[in-house]
Amino acid sequence: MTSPVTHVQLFATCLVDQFYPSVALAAVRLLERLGLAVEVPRDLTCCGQPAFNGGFQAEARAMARRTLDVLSRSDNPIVVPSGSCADMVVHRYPELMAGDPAYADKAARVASRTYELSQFIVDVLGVTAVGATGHGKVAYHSSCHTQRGLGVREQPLRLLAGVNSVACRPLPESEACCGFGGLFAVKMADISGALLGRKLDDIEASGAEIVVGTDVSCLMHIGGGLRRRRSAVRVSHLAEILAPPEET
Amino acid sequence: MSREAADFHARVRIAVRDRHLQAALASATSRLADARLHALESLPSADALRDHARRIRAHTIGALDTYLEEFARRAADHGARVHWARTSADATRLVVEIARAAGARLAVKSKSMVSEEIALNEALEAAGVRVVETDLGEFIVQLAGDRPSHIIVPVVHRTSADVAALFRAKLGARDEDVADIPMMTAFARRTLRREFLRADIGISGANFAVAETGSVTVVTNEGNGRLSTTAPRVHVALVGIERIVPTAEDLGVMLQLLARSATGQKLSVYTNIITGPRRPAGGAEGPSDGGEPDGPDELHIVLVDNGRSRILAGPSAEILYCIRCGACLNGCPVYRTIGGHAYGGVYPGPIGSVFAPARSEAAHPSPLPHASSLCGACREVCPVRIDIPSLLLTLRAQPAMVRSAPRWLRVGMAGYAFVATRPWLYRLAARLARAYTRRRSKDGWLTRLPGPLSAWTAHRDFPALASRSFTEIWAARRPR
Amino acid sequence: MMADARGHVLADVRRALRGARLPEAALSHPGSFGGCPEAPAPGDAVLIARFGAELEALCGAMHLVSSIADAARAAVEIVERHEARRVLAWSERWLGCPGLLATLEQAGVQVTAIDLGADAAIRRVQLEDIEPVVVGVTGAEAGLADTGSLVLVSGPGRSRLASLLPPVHIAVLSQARVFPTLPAFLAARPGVMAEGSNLVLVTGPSRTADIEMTLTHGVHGPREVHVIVVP
Repeated sequence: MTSPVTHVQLFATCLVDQFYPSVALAAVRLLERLGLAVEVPRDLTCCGQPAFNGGFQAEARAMARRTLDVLSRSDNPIVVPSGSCADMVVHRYPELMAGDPAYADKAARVASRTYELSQFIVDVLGVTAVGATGHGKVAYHSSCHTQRGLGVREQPLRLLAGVNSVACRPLPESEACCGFGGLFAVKMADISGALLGRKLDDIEASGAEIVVGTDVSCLMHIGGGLRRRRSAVRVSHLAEILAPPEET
Repeated sequence: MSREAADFHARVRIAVRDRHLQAALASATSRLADARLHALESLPSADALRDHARRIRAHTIGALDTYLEEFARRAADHGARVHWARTSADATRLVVEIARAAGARLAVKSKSMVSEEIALNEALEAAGVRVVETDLGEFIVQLAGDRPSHIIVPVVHRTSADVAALFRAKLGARDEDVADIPMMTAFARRTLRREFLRADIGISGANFAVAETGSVTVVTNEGNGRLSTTAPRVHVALVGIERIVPTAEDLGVMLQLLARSATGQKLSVYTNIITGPRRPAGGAEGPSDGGEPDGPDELHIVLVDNGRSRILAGPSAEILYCIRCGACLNGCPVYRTIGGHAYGGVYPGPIGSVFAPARSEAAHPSPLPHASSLCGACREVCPVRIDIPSLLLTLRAQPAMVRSAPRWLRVGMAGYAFVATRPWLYRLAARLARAYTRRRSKDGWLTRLPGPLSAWTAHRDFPALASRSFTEIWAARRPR
Repeated sequence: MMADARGHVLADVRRALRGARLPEAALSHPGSFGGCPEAPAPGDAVLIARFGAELEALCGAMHLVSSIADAARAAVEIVERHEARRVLAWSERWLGCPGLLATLEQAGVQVTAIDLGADAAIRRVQLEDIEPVVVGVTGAEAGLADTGSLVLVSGPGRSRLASLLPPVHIAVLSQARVFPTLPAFLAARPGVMAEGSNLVLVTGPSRTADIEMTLTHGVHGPREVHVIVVP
């Protein structure tokens, strides 16, 4: 690393922005606690992954170009509280923009400074103990794009291990897909539902009170399933576990 | 929705509700997946070996015509008759002709995926040749008039009780013959022995075909791959044109990965490498050489295209690197949930979800490329690191596939892109969605979504949008 | 007709390759795999021990003997244990155990060699004749230590069926021919694959787990594999 990082941009992502704003707020508090100044670029919407996964390349490219324009206004590293969105920017944007001379370079540069939140804290800042305190038994669900797309497996676990008073329970088959898969959850609902059922059974077996993850997409799906089962277990994004409490 | 898609969804629904199937799949796939991990751990430099294997496959496929020619030449040098089949119909016609010329009435078969692709058994039966599958799983499938549900363990979906009933009904087995699994296996062995030793023709597939020597490799655990290619006078080997490997050394690399990836064995029990029919007298050993004592007198190798060159020309060409180990099936959460039959074709699982649509000229695009959450487990376990998720995405992006998406989705996606690239419109749309969900929600959750989105709420609740978006909260806190 | 088909398939492949979008463009052959650690030389005691351990893990059996005479005795013992009165065997020249066949004959065991006729009817009769034989005796081209495998090459005096048809297979393997791995063997014996019409790697007894993933031995091939390792 050359000079230490002082400023980062936060790309909240569409699901966090609209459904779970507390996750982005927690990410900001966390990053500020770690000594960073957080910029939130104006006019960020969606990275385009739903369109891309659905095969709608033109729509995906349109959203990718817009996002790249916004994220290029600053040279600061981009932190994303979502592994799948970070993976989209890091791996798929360069592919999507490969044939576009105006954006190929931009995509490569943005990709090179985009990180999922836990990846940024552990790999870039070199921090595993963020000084958080929690309580309860948590189990970590490993999201597919985070672990297999970005290769981020250990970082969330190390951060959780550094939280006082939190007991981390192993989740059986923690690396197994929860069945969200984007539009897959609707298009292939029977399969998605079966995979969800298996994930919920594993969660029950773990004895955890909170399921933690890096992706609200998975958490929305798992949370919806837990709610349907009238389970007392709740879901939480990693940022919410690690962040200092809100100042009142 | 197309007929094919509707049928697929119907099969999925059946599979998901089949408790026995679910248990069998969970058990089999996790055992095979664990065994694979264990076997790769025992291989020094497994990762580097996989990279090397991929490079061999990439190089070979990139020069496929050259290697096919070399293979055919060398095979002919050793006395094999090499035939070329462009289509499924060409391939079946060739094999039927070979069988007729040999006066064959009985054929024994060791497993061949290509033979399933071309529906060879039906064609032979129609030509008056009785065909007996000799792989135990395939034999059971054949008796049941069923289809295999896994490329490595074809009857993972059947219980031993099923098999006992089948042997009683179709083969006249007595109770003591089917008392337990070893007894059933011994019964099958006795039954199939008679067929092996009376068969006029043996038909096999080929796991690999070595260009340098003109050899075909048949890998089995049971020995049927050896017996069916040794006892009958005529052997026909069906070889998909992508099965070529350049050299014996390259074959060694592939063999180190194949069984480990498939079942966790270091090597399958029988790795059978065939180079020509049995060598006649007067060979290299000199005048006292009496020739080989056994083996077929005729070896026919049928090189089958059947859509592979079409795949090669297209964006899914990487799928031709596949060595048919089945590791992707064992790692796939979708396969594990729906089993092989639901896929509806010869190849299930991730490999099938690319191979079948890529090869097909069907009017209606296959639903299979969308039957994936893109979790990436398949890519992780593939011995030659095929990027199946990317291949699925490419298939999804093909114009015919996009056109076949339901109207609500095409309109919705275009609308979403329009809105998401105009932040003011995005904020407006979000407010409308928020109002909608908050009105219909209870304690922040909806139990029913409208129209096609109801598929979500069939299995889980849906959250209402937050009362204020992060963007709004941030703008209020940090006025500019 | 055949020439046309060949031409068509090759033309289709060439046409496809011209426009192909393979992930790795025009990759040259990667050469040999250099990632293997240093291995002991063929015949090393470490390899013999490893070979035995791997074979045993597969439910095969290794019999390490210190002389040819002991090898012959070990073979007779196995034959007698199975009360076999007849064996299918390779010719003496290829067994790697001079006197073994004579020892068997002295013990009252009939030694049969296979020589299948070209005529289908004769072949059938011959196969039916040898089908009930319980023990097959062969030599071996090599052993592979890391997998416990035998390498058997077909040729005059070396039938395929001797190691396949009978339920018990006895193979005589010379210590010096035990290689660390398959790649090591192939590197040491270039051209071996095409020496006979058949080269088979036999890795333990025949098996299946097709029914309920339950392991059973002796499906179509032998259910017992005995490897007598001679100096």
